[in-house]
Amino acid sequence: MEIIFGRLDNNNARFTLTETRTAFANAFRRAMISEVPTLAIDQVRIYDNTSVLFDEMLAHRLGLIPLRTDLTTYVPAGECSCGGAGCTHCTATYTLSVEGPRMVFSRDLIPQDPTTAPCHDEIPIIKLSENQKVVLEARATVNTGKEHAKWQPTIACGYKNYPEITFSENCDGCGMCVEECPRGILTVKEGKAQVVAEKQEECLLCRLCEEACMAGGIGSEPSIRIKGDETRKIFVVEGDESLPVQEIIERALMHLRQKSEDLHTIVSQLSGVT
Amino acid sequence: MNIEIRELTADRARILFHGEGHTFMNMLTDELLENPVVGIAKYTMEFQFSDPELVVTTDGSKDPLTVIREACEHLRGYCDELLENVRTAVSK
Repeated sequence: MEIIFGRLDNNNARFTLTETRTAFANAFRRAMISEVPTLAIDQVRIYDNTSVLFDEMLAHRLGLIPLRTDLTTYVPAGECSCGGAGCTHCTATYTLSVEGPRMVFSRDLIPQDPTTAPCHDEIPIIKLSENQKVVLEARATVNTGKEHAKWQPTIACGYKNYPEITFSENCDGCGMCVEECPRGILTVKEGKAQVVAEKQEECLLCRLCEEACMAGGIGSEPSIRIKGDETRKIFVVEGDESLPVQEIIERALMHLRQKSEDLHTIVSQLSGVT
Repeated sequence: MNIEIRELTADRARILFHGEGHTFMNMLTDELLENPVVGIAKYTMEFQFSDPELVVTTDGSKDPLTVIREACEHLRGYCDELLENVRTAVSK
């Protein structure tokens, strides 16, 4: 099994996972989404809210704001030495005090620890008009997406089988498939259809080209064939900037490794093997 | 991880996994089925949030706990390999 990166920056990754199986790839995807911990606002004490939103809706909107998370500093409340009571190792606190008329943005949320500031300054929370006011204190805790979607560190995270596109000798280069392809990955050269160089990975596996080819009426079989290689998966991972994508990938793998290790230890003890 | 063995014979085991979900169970059963001595490897969840119960049967040449241990070793190996890969790719 191997990971080959096509793209890797702080917030986006695109890679091919080779010699794998669907079950493993899916566990990896699920672990990245719901097993990697991150910070999100969980408790809000509202001192004043004369805005048009109910307290609950305001708290919900605050919860969805992605917060920068340093997992070397913050630990989930259940694992903290304070026993979940709330200390500087498991809880980040914020204050917000705004009077209208104006829009309240995520940058108005003032963190006690500047390393846990919201990832984006421009997220609108609520619009206040004349004489409306919001004063509150919020506490963010570390948890996983399994508990609630606000703790997911990923925005888009998915995979597809590696596309394999083959052309038979029947192709007469009519160009029907080229017109139909939504990603524009096909072209006609020297009277035959072929894949545009380096665009094969962009294939959606939608098979519209196969249908178009059938419509062209060349025999009963389409001359273009699309197949997904189940042993190779193309992953796309997009983070919400709370954690670097590389850390999301590593922590998901570490989570799966830990689970396997734990089960291995328990089963070894039960069967008397050390 | 907290497991409860509900049945264990030389070629069959029924194990309840407390607090586990599809993420790990599906990966584990798929890996178990890769082993040619395994007949059935399947987990059931009575309700959507129930704890999964794993049923493993073998042809008798290996006991179920051994095949589970081997599957875990393989899975750990894959994760180690990929972690190594990611770290090398990033350091480049």
